[in-house]
Amino acid sequence: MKKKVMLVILAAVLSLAGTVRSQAAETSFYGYTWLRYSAIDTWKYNDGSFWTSTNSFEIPRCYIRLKTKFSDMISGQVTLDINNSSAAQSYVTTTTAGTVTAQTTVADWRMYVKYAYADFAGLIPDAVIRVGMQKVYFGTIDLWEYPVIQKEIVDLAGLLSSADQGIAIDGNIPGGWGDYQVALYNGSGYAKMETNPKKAGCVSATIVPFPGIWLRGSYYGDITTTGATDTQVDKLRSSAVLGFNFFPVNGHLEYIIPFNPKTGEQGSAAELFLQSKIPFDIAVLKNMDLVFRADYYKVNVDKKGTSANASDAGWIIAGFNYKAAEGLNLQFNAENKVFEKTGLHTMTYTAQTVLSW
Amino acid sequence: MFKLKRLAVISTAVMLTIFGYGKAFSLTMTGSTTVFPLAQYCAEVFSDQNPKMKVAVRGGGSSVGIAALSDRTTDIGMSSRPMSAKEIKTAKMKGVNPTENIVAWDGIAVIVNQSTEMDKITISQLKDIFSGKITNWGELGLKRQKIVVVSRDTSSGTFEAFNVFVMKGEKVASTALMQASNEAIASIVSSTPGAIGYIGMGYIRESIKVLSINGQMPTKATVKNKTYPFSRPLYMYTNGAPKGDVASFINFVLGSQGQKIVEEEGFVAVK
Repeated sequence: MKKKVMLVILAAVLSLAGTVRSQAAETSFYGYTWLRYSAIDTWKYNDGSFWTSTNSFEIPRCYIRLKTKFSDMISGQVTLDINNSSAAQSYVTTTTAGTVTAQTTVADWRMYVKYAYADFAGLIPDAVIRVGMQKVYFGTIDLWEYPVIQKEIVDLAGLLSSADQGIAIDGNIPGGWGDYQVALYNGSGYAKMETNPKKAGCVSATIVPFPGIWLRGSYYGDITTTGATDTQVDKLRSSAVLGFNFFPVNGHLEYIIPFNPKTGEQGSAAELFLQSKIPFDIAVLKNMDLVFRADYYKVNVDKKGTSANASDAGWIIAGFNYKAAEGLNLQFNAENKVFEKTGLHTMTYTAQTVLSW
Repeated sequence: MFKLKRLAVISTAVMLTIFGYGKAFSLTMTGSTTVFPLAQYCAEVFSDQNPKMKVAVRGGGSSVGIAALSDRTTDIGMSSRPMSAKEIKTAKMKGVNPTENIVAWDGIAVIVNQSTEMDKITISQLKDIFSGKITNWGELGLKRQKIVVVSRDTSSGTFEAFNVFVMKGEKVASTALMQASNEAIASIVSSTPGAIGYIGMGYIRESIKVLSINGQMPTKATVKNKTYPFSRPLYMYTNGAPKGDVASFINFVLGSQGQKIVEEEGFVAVK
């Protein structure tokens, strides 16, 4: 039943794309697909008998995107994400006499709306008002374009969702000095509908003082609306980013502070990302980037005394990207992750193609 | 000794290959199709005078040229409109310092097919025609004939300028024929009865009729003194103040020889 629903939705979107294209002057229909192979070894420092090794092919992401410009003042976008990653697995249960006797996981597909919003320009100078399911403008989560095969740290650590439903102002500072975003969200991300009175507010500002250096500050916090019985906020996040781009090297340094006023717990997370082109005019090397990322996080702030616990982790990712052809990028990463308290250690080797169409 | 010499020759060849002796072009320019013919003509004359330099000129529209400059895939981004705040911010975040060099002035000419009995038009009438509110020349008191609207695509600086001067945010009619270059618009208007379009004045030819706007025709004098309402500068954006080969070319364009080419191409010299 779920597959039938997905197919109906996909057919409706594709039909809409054709209809809209024939009626509107400016409609674009495009997307990209990730095809990934991962090999993961897991072991524990303090338990020599603990060892697992897995490997798999998967399609962790397939974006189908429809953008339409109705006029210079109004435009819109819908992005569907279809994937069969491990998170998309479903369960097959076997029952005997009404009792579940076995449950096995099977590969499955899932589809959800990642973005669906309308932009209204012209009401605020050099800014748009964006309504609908959209990016969360915090830290580097909305700027991350997967130069390594891993989520951005705020997304990965589960501190915030990369998209949410709400309304935002996305504007530019005159003269090209930077930009700003002010948003009001549901607060639960794109995966579920939140109906409680609490909403979430987010403000971000980027300053570009001179070419090659940019600074971004972001603040995210729950907002309790009038009439709510629970008057305490329980999710505060702040981020500071220093970005740099001096050819051939670019990257950023980010520091994040998650805080829960209910528990009083404060965590921390930090990331260093570096990317370098290879400045040699040789056929293979000139289309190649080297990438490196080092993260750590200590972010479980939802219970007292848990700011340092089993989820604390640090890891390093290194690899390279190769632009094989227009619309085809290849990525190769090695990722070494350590969970501080449990001694769990994973080594992941990943190869991925990014096919844009 | 011989082995050492051979090693030195091989090493030099390898180093020259690695560090770009084999580069295809010493200077690339990308962007506006309005600026394109001017840039191409200047590049030809400049290359003749500097045989060691290879210059490549590509079109694609002003937005494409600006994006290419930000991505460092071009040395000069040609544009027929100023960069937006967002484009400047994006370039600076990528370590590029976009610097404008005005190389000429241009007027956007509104053109119609020779069969259209019209010599002048108001900005308000233009907006109504291009938005689809007026679809027949008969609605303007002329011989009844269907209006064929021809416009530039949205990556074009000419389109952006026309939007600022005329449309002011209103959408071009969905029935408009969207074209990728000034040349294409000139060709379609000259061969299609009832057609109306707009082009850089450098593309004006005898087979098409130019309309006066608010009583002014696009001439060098009216564009230079800005009495013609659709006057605009043409830009060659560089990464910082021009240096090396880029400076040599920009200085050539702004020099007496380059400005003579500007006039020959139908634009207005800045100097």
